[in-house]
Formats: sequence, C-alpha cells, structure tokens
Amino acid sequence: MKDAFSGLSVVDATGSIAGNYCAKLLGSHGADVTMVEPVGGSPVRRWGPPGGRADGPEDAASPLFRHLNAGKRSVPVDVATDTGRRAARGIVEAADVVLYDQRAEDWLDPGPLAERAVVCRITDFPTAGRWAGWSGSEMIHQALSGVMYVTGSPDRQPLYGVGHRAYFAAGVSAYITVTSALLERGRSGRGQRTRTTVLESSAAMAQNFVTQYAYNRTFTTRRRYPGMLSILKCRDAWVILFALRHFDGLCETFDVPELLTDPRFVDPVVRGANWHLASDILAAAAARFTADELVDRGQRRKVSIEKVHSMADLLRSEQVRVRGMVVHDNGRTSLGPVFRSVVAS
Amino acid sequence: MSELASGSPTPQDIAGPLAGVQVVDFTSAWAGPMTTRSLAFLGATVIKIESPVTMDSWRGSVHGAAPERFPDLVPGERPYNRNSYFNTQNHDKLSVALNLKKPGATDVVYALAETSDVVIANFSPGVLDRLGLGHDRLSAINPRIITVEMPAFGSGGPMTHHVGMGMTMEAACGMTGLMGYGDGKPVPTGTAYMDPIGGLHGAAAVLTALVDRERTGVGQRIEVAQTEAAMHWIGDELIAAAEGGEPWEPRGNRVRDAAPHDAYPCAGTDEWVAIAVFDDDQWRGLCAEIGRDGLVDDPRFATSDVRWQNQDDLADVIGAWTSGQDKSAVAQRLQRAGVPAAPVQNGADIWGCPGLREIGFLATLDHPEAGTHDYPGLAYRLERTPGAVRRAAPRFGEHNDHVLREVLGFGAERVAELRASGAVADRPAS
Repeated sequence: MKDAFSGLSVVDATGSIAGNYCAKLLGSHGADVTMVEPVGGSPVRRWGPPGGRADGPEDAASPLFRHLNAGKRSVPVDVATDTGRRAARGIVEAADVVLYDQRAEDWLDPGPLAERAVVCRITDFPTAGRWAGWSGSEMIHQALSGVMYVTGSPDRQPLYGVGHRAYFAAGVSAYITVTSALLERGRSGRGQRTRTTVLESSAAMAQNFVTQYAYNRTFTTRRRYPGMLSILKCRDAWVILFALRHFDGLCETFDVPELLTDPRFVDPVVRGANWHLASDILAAAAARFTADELVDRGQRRKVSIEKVHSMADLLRSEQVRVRGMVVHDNGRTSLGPVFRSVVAS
Repeated sequence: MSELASGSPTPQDIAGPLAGVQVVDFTSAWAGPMTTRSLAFLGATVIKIESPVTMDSWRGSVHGAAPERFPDLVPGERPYNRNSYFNTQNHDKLSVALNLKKPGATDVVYALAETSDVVIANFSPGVLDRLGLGHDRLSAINPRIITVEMPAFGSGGPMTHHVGMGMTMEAACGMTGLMGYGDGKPVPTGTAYMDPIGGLHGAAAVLTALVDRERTGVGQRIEVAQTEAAMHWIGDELIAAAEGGEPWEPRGNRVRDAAPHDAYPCAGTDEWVAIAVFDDDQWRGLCAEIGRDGLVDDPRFATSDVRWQNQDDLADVIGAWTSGQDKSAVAQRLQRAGVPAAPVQNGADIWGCPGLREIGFLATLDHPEAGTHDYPGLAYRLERTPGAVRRAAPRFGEHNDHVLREVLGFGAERVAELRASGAVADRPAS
C-alpha cells in the first residue's frame, strides 16, 4: 500500500493544514509531492506548538509543519511577479493532482488542468454566496458545526476543543474526494474539478444534530450527554468511562455490587435516565484506585474505560512503542502510519 | 447554487466515481457506517449485513431508545426503523439480516465475496477470523477482495483487545487531556468525535487500497486503528512533547497564537458567539465594531502579546458588548469587518442555517417508516461525477430478497431454506 500512488505527481499549492494533510496522505502512499510556497514560507511553518524556526529548511520549521510536510519537495515562488506566476503554472501543468486554495486563484486556472488532472480546491468556506469573504479558524468552524455547542459544562462557555481538528477533517475529506476522482480517471481517462470546504467537513463530523432536530425539534445541549458517560478522578489521574454494556462487569470493576440490584439502575432504560446518580457513586469508588488499576480491572470485564492520557503518557506507552507510532530519527520525531496494510503471517 | 462550472454529466457520471464497486459491510454504530456511507455517497453499492440477535446499536433495540431519537419523539411499532442515529449514517445502503451462527449464513457471505470488492468490519480484533470471514478465507474465494478492519487499538500491543468507544478512545489517544477549562478536569468533546475521525480514515483506507489494487491486481487486508489515526490530528503536540517542548495545558478556549479567542454570551439562554483575533488588523476591526472610546488605544490591548496577557479584562469588555445582541448578527458584523467570528450553533441553528441549505449540504429524504426529513451531507464535491445522498436508510432486512435472489441469483427454494434455518431474518429478535 505504501506504493499505491507510485508515479503520481501531486502539487500542493495550499497554505493550509487541510491541503497539507491531504498531500501528506498522498505522499505517504508513494506520490511525489511538490509544495509551492510563497517567498517567506508557508504560514503553516509558524503555526502550532513552538519548536524550530519559521523560515529555513523543513527541519527547522514548527512541529506542525514538519508533521504535515516531511518528505515533500518545496519550491518557493514569488507569485506577485509575472515570472513567479509563470513558474508556478509550469509546476502544476504536469501534475496528476493539484491542490489549491484562494491564495492560488490569481495565477492558477483549474479549467484546462482538469481535462486530465484531478484539481481540488480546498478552502475554509465556499467562495460564492453568503459565505464569500468569511474568515475561518478552528474555533469558528467548530462553532458553526454544532460540536462546540455540546462541548463543556452547562454553566460555562462552550469549548471548541483542541488543535486544528476541523482542518484535519477537511484534509481527509479532500483525500477521499481526490482518490475517488483518481479511480474514476483510471476508468475514463479524464480528470475533473473537485472541492472540499472546512465548513462542510466539520459539519459532517457532527453527531446527528440536523436529523434529531428534523425528526422532533429537539437538540442536544451541554446539560447532559446522550449516553452513559462518566469522567472520574482516580488517585493519580482521570479516566473516562462509557457504560454501554456489561453493567455487571462495571459494578465488579468499581467494587459496587449494590448497584446491580438498585432499582434506579435495574434496566438500561432507567439506568440511562439516572446515570448522573450512578456517576456520583462511581466517582467515590474511583478515588480508591489508580487510573491504570481501574482501566485494567474494567477492560478485563469488557468495560470501556480508559485513562485520560497526557502526551508524556503516550510517549511512555507500551502500546505506542509496539505499534511504532512515535518514530525518532536524527533528533527529529514523526508519527507512524495513519492506517496500514496487514501482511499475512 | 453551484460554484462549479456547469456541464451535462452522463448517466455513468451521475452514478458517482465509485459506481460498480461493491462493499459488504459488517459495521455498526458510527465510525464504520460513516466509512461505508461515504462509499455509498460516492456511488458504491453497500450491502449492510445486520445481525438479528445483536442489532446495530444505532438502531436501538426492538423496545426503542431515548425518545429524542425518534420522529415526534414517538418510537413507533418498529423503532429500529425510525431511529435518527441509524438513519443518518446508513442512507443509500442495502440491508440484509443474517445470523452468522446459523447454517448457511456464511455461505451467503462467501457468495457475496465472489463479486465484491471490499469487506469492512469494526468488530473486536479476531472476530472476523473466528466467524470464518477473515481476509485469508475471503481472498481464497476472490483474490481481489480488500478487507478493512477498524479496531479501536492496533494489533499486537497490550491495548489491542481493549473495548473502545468514541469517548474512551479520545481519552486514550491523548486528545481529551489537551482539553478543559484549566481547572485540572479534562473535558471530552461533547460528541463521540473519534467516531467520524475513524469513519473518514476508514474511507481513505478503502480508496487507497482500491487504487493500490489497480497497480497490483490483488486485494489486501488493511487495519485502521482508530486511536492511531486520531493521534495524527494532534500529531504536532505529540512531536513537540517528544522533542522536549512544554506540554500544552488546557485553558478553555484560549490558544497560543490569538487573543481574544473565546465564546462570549449573547441574547437568550445559552447563546454564544465565538470570536478569534489573530492580528492587529483584526483587533482594530473588532474595536471599530465595539465602538468604545479608547479601546483600540488601550495599552493593555495594544499588541498581541499584551492582549494575550490581559484576556480576562478583554473578556469583560467583549462580553459586555455581545450580551444582549443576537449571536448571528454579531458574527455577520464582525465577519464583514474582517474579524473571524461565528455563532455557536445548536441543532436548531444548523438545521435552519440558510448558508448550509444554500450550498446543498442538507438533503431531504422520504423514509417509509420515519417520514420525510432533512439529513446532513458530506464534504466530497466532484464536478463531473458527483456523489449524493440519494435514498433513505434501509429498514431492517429490507433487501433480503433483492440481494439473495437478484444480486446472488439464489433460487426460491434456497432462500426459503435460509429463512427456515434462521440464517436469514426478516425482523430482529426480541
């Protein structure tokens, strides 16, 4: 699978996390990826947690830039000049896949390219209609998607989450769009224009908000999660518990056998309605254990419970080590595969 | 309104880029069904194999589920056909109800494997193999078949057999630990966000394998460990930590590179506007809209560095301005002024959002038991061979006869035997 796109040439003319992640996925499966960067470097070089320098070669850029763009060829182009624009057009005209955003629209003409290439415009918002001119960011998209509204405490402001998840969603969505168009090109011999927006990608991540309201004019709030979820403090760290099945195993895990016969929790329907009461009981019980103890007790009984891992926990994790998910090479770090082919034993 | 150039697609084009691809789908809940929903949207034929004993959890049970999942809050006679959760993630699929533990059921799957391109499951590790439906067995029938499994954790490690759900996977992959109000308590995403992350990567994996098959001529077995895929979405934080960087401590909506950056109260109950200011130009734009004398020159807020340090004071100023105003109106004003802003939308807002309707993100579908309703779309936009949300989710076992008789060519007697043995069911068990 690592050579699935062997021989495919990709130009990433975006200055976005979404475009970079789409191109990363193509490159990690064998595509030859060239980034067209403005003079002074892509803005992504300066985003995310600190580390490295904003200018200079890839290995001096931010962890975010390196995470998204390791292994790509970078061509700085001054698209403010005629010479630069001609150079940029020369780079894209031979490509099989061209990713671009509104920053490239004054020099890139997708129409002719799309006769034989798959051309994908990746933008925060649609560039026409009522969204034209809107400025996006992670929190803006999480706010529009509905996910922010249901995240956090009911008596405090809603939370957007972390990082750039809406942009990663758009990156994978663009990858799905591009690869499906490549498959079709394999049959028809024709390219086409495609597009992905962060707006729609993050809306598609939402949990049935549209349908629930359409069905019965109700919507989820932060007052209560629609499931048996508990966030519990152990002696040393926090755990998250999701109690879908195996209630008897759960009671054993926390050493609270009295809950099994408690009429408030006797069947799934009343248990769900009263879960906030069960949570209080479990919170008291959790304080007697370490997080690892509780997770071990629970998972042995098929209870879905996990420690809230910190970055340090992940870097010490045997699961992460065995799977090769953190790779160190010459003082620099990268992550293992997003998905992988399983070789028959 | 279409942004793309118009044209006249052929019937083949309208069928979508994956027309002709056939998928056997054992997935349930959200992540796996979102993968196969994506494939169906793009034109693949998705045959969903449903157990009559343990139904897809998103159908609920024969007795129903939480009332807010149903039309008019009424579960109805067959609530498993009226559940909004299931009906959102399973449009454009065919339903075949098979009890894999009954005689003849696995033979149905083997017959499907002969002409299918993809088999996909989100069972616990090893379950597909134990059912006799693992990749080795199916590829012996059809060497071109691609098998995709979507466990919570990757194989070979101490967590391989952990029971993973969206919320617990989010904690395990490190995401939840980066979120909270800054009081020490982690706050998970309010939805099972890991599920659509897995769903997207599942679709990406299937498509990659289909491309690879064009090169090699054979299928393969793919593992999409959902926690591993999700780690890439916070990969920068993990890399920074590995290289000795200071770990990120959650601070509500505050971030490293913007201030103000938060949700501010607006008119009404639990109504908020999100405002994000990344540079001095946006700050000046915000000040112009707030219109308060001296704000733009206030030394506490004159640069991005001091704005970051004085965010508590900023929150008071901005909150005083936004409260009493409509969240959408505030957001529109600020966007026109070049300031990133958005109403924090709830389910009613999204359903009614004219912007999402204008771009065709919502689709209206007729379901024979749930009625006519709007459903959300997906973000894959292809001009010449577009995908689409076309048909409502199937009723339980709705396509038993179509798949067995017409797709597989089984005779009436064989189908009757499968029903008699309990291999094929027309309704779920009680």
